[in-house]
Amino acid sequence: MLAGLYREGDTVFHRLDPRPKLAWTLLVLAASMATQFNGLKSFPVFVSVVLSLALAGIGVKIAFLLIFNASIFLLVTLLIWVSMYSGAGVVLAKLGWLTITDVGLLVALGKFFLIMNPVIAFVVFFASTKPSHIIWAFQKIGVPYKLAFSFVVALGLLPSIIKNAGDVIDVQKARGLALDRGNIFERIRRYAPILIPLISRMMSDVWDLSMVLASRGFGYAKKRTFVDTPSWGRLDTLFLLLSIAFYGGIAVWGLYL
Amino acid sequence: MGALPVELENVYAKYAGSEDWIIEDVTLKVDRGEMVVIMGPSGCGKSTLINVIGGLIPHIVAGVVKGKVKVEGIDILKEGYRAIVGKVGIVYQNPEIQVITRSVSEELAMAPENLGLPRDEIIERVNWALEILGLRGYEKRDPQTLSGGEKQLVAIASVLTMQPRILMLDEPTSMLDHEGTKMVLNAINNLRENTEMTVIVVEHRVEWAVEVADKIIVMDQGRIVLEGSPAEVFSRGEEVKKFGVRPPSVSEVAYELRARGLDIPVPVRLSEAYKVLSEVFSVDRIKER
Repeated sequence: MLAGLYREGDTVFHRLDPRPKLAWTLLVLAASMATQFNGLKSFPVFVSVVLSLALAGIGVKIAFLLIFNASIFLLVTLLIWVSMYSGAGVVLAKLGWLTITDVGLLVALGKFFLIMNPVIAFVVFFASTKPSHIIWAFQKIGVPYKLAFSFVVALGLLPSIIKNAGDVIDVQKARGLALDRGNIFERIRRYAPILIPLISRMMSDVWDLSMVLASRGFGYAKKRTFVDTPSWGRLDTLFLLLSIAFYGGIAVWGLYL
Repeated sequence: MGALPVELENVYAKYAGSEDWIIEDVTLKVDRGEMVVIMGPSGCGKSTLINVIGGLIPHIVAGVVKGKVKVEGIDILKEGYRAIVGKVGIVYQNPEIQVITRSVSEELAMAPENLGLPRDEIIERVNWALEILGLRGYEKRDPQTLSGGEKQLVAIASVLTMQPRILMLDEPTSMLDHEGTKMVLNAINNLRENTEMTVIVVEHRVEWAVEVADKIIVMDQGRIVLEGSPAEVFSRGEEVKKFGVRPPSVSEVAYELRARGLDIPVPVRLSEAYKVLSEVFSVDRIKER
């Protein structure tokens, strides 16, 4: 239930304390926000997070999934922002109704990176940090244990929802439910017999989990003990300082230069 | 004399929203170190009874409980759920939902961590639980990669680290294959032999139950309808069957022989059956007849 995105590994990212990693994801977010109107300035942030995917040993499958979804998202973002900024800057090209300007292109890229960079950074964070360490780190920064645990459980439920949905789809298909026929509206309507059993299954899982947690004294002690705790080392300090310098520099570049 | 581990008097319970009582007028006393097996058809209230004893109803799960519910001498209806946290461990039927963390040792440490125990004591308890359930060597394994039986052992070990006075298992083998079932039942036998815990199990495997139980409780429609030692309960064959519980095969043979006029005691265990039937079919006895 707490599995979520975490992948066991022994990479640089796995060895880092969760606190500098969390700070890193927030710095990525800040730098991406500061450079959201200029894709060129946020491009180094994008390169850094893609590099971090490799450094965290994220599997090819997840990386491919991210990049595939990102390319679809890139197309949509380009269309929206380029058309919104078609009146500003130098016209680079005209594709039918769409006028592409240099400003439009930079803003579109900036907006694309604004979403993609933090998404990749958070994927790296969750995939390389043990769920129990995430809870520990959240508690260290003042988040109540119950809230931190619930957040991590909620993340862990996502893969469980996908698995359960697959099971329900298989069962309903075996009973003759045809999901791939008809127009788009008919297809959406056909998903109703998937949704209801899926929700009831998830509710039942959550109910069972709450009973299990209650029987294990969840939330009993005011100060919960953590047996396995990460420790802050020189690598963590170095990583944090480099991150502050790099993303701080980019943020200043994006905002003032 | 110390308080009884479980003392229920005229207990009624139902979940919020349900009109009828799920358990009705239940009176039960369980002695220290006793092993109790609860049997009965689906929906007869076995799991609800476990949740009432565990204090989950009405404190965690909304519901109404009437009567006297004392666990380890604590009136949990008055004093609340927190008063018995750590004293009672509950293991549920679905092993999948009971393994929460990413390693067996983390899983085992979770409950005593929740209780806020000192780190060294938690490590000691984890080692003890690993040892007693034969899980040594599994410490770093991801519970998701284990078989159903192994997961259920981890679930049992995860509540054992609270060192509860009472361990309750709600159909712990109902979702397991033959191997997994054997593994879990052996583990319960092992706990029975090596600890002084009071164990309450909801289990349908009657041949196993009669070997290990001090007391068998048969429930039907929310009430305790039969209660006693395995021999006492299964000597009442017709009643047991009426309540949807299959008697041990050796008892069924005895019922049949008694129906044909042989005045023999009803054995419940294979070893007893061997003695009884050796006596019945001995050459001297046949000559006598």
